[in-house]
Amino acid sequence: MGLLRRPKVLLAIGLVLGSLIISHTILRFPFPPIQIKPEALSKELISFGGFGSFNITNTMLSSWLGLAVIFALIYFATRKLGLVPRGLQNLVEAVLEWLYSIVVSVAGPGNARRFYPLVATIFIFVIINNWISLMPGYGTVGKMELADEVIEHIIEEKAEDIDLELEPLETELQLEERRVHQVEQQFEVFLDWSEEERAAAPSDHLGKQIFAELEGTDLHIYDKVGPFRVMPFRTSKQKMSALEYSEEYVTFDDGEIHFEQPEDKRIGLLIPYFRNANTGLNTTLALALVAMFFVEFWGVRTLGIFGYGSKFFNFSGFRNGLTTGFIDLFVGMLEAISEIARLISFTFRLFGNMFAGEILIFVMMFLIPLGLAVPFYGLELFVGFIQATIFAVLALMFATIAVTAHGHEKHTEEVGQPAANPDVDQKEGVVDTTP
Amino acid sequence: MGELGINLPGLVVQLFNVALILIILRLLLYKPILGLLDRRSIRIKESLEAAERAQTESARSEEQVKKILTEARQEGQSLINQAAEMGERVKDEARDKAKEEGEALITRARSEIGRERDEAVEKVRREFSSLAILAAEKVIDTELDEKRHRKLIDSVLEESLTSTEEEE
Repeated sequence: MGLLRRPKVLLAIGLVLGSLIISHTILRFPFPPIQIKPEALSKELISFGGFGSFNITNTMLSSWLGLAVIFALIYFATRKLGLVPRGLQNLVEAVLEWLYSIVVSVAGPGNARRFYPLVATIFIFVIINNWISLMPGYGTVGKMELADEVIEHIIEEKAEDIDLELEPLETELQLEERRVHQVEQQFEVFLDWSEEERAAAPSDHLGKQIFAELEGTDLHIYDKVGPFRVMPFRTSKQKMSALEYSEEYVTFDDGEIHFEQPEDKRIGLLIPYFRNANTGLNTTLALALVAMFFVEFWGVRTLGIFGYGSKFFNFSGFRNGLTTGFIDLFVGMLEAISEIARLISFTFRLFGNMFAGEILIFVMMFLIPLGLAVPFYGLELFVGFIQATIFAVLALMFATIAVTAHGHEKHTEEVGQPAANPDVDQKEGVVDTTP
Repeated sequence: MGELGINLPGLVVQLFNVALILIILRLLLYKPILGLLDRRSIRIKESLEAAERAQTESARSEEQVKKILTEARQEGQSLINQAAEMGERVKDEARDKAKEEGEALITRARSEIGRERDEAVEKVRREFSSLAILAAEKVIDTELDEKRHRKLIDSVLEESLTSTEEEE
């Protein structure tokens, strides 16, 4: 009880309580819809030659911002390069030297210069993207996707699942329209039903599926409309589900869906302009591909195509009998699989950690937006650093393993660093278990 | 894959981004900064070596200075000793010389005095003998054979002189 009488403790408790009260009355932060797929920013698909078409997504835009930040950093750090470092040069040098010492300690001085650019680039790219994603505006400033667009997207996505044959003289576009139309019809039918009929409908009924999806989609209500939207602090009335919206504003006319537009407000979703580039799988996959490409490249370059390839297709065991030969072949297969597993774990480790961090921040902002979410930003700073380090160091270790001669005892003495092999394997195991 | 947001064009864009940043960082950041670090480490090594060299040099020169100082001190001491010795010798010599000279002076003076006394005695004797002859002439009033008598007188005088000398 003595603890409660101390003014500092009382003040802290008061602050927490005040923050909780204000958080749950005036300053409610909406919980945004969470999706793995990066949100598209461009309305129209941009054609990309023979590769198909794509949207500019918010993770893509963020990665460009990240590049811009990195370029600005290099420019200001190397503008007045002096033997006696000053200002920003100090920081950049310290980071680069730290990375260099890691590379030298793992790969040895011989390979350090070769591996260093890749390792440092991965580290810098990942950490800059992670850290700028903690700046205000990430995930909260964006453009508005109106409710009718949201509902249309849901219907269009559902329509892709319908099996319809292409009729003669019909174009792809017309087929698409016919599918959408069918979903809309089913939805209309479902809306007209009574509660019992709805409940009795089979779960693969298109209308029921749409209904459920709309019920689970929260829309935000904005009073004013402009080019920039900030995620609104809300009281309970500033939110409605897409289903409530469609019951109020959607009409069907001859099987065609129509949306009425409310006059004084806009209802829809916020599409943030910026989202941590590492929460998009395209970015992490690209990083993993580049890393593994260089790893394999260095392996082939150092051991020769046959030297390196014998790791995966090892026929030398047949000299010692059929059984040994097959075992060696099987081990080679495992090696090949582990190579692919590395690529996948690279991709999803970074993605998973950063995506989880993003959700964590959203959850904390939703629960207690005022003040108490701040420690979690600190945590995310740490996680961002750790993930960058893990990605870079793992790439370094894989590269080191790839350029070290594998195979059996007799081969190991021929290459420069036989002792590095078990050592590195151990380290890899340790790092791998960290999230 | 599409549901996860992985698509080929998006992947190509990100691959391009990563490759671009790799190339640009390599050209604009790693090369100059690593070069700088190398240069700096070389320079630090050099200056450390130079410092070490300077230290050994200074230690050596200090030793040399010490040696020179000791030698100089010894030399000075020996010079002082020599000077003192020489001074002593000069003093002795001067004293001996002065003594000799004094003695020589005394001897000369003594011999001079002796000679002068002899001369005076001779002169007195001669005058005395002539006076005696003159007196005897006056007494006997004859001229004495000066040559014959002088011998006689002289022997008398000689006798008296020796007796007076003996008496003295």
